[in-house]
Amino acid sequence: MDKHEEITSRIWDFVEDIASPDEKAAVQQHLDTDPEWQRIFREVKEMQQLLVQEPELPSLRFTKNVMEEITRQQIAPAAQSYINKRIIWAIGIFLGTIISAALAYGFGQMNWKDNSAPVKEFKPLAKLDNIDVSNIFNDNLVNGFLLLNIVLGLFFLDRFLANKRRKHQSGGV
Amino acid sequence: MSTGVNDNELIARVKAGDQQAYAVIVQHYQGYVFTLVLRYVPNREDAEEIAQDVFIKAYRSLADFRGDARFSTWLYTIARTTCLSFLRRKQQPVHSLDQPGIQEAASQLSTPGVPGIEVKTKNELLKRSIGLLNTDDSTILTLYYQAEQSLDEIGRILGIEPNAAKVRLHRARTRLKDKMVQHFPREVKDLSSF
Repeated sequence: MDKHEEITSRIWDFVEDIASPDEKAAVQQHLDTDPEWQRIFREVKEMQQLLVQEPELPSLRFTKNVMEEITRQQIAPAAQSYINKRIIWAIGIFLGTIISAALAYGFGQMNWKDNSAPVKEFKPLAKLDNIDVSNIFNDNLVNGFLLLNIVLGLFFLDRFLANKRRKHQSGGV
Repeated sequence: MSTGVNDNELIARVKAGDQQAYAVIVQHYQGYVFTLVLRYVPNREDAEEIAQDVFIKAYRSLADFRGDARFSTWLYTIARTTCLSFLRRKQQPVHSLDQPGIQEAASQLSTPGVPGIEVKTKNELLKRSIGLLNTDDSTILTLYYQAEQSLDEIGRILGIEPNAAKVRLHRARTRLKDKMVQHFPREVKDLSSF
């Protein structure tokens, strides 16, 4: 930013009343004494007056058209009313449990003994490799569980995308 | 900027079933929304249709307006997203400041000193000069000077930090001045005599 641009920027902040009190005082001091600052100030004021104009107007039927359409519409229920936080928490806990269980099982199946480093042997806190899960997990159960997860995943993906689209359409403020 | 009657009171009335209260809101904000839409979609017919769509969408989503922002800010956010959706559907490019060469291209497209078209009023000078800017610049100028949104609110509408909005606003003013000097030098000289 060159000097002229810097002065212009500071004067804009001054006339728009967005400068800090200290900055305002500093600019005022320049304006009282410096002809260059005074010239830029006049330009900025002219520009500001130019910029503050009335908006353009649509056709005279505009409001009528909107109101005619509104009579056929209804206010949709607030998003908050149908998004239950308890359900979101339950889903979170459910997914967290699944991930923890999968990790625990995975770690339990790992061979912690490193043959290339005979110095130390890592001992897990629990001997998870001794747990026999074959009685609990058979092929049918695992397949069923995976299928359930896929269905749930697709369901939540659909809800997520629908919410995103709704937020996008409503402006999301 | 509000409708005179408190916007939130009017919205409460609309939510309670008084549809006519919405007409007051539409009447008040139609110009601001229409002008903002024109920055994205210069065709007046399309812009009017989109502006109507904005008010209808806002009505349908009124239950989601929580009142933690001004109603106008919420409404302009809907206006912006509706315009962007329209442009995406039509696949019209929205020119960003960051695109290289965009300003040069805009300068070549503009028609300075078209014979027979005289800029007689300040309003006309502004309108035509803003028409030479890219969408980012003209939108931020419209939001700040015509729609009377603060830098915080502009940040909310455009999804940027208030400081970034301030920088963009300054750049937009500078570019507007450049366009005016470049294309309407005589009018700029006589600005104070308008």
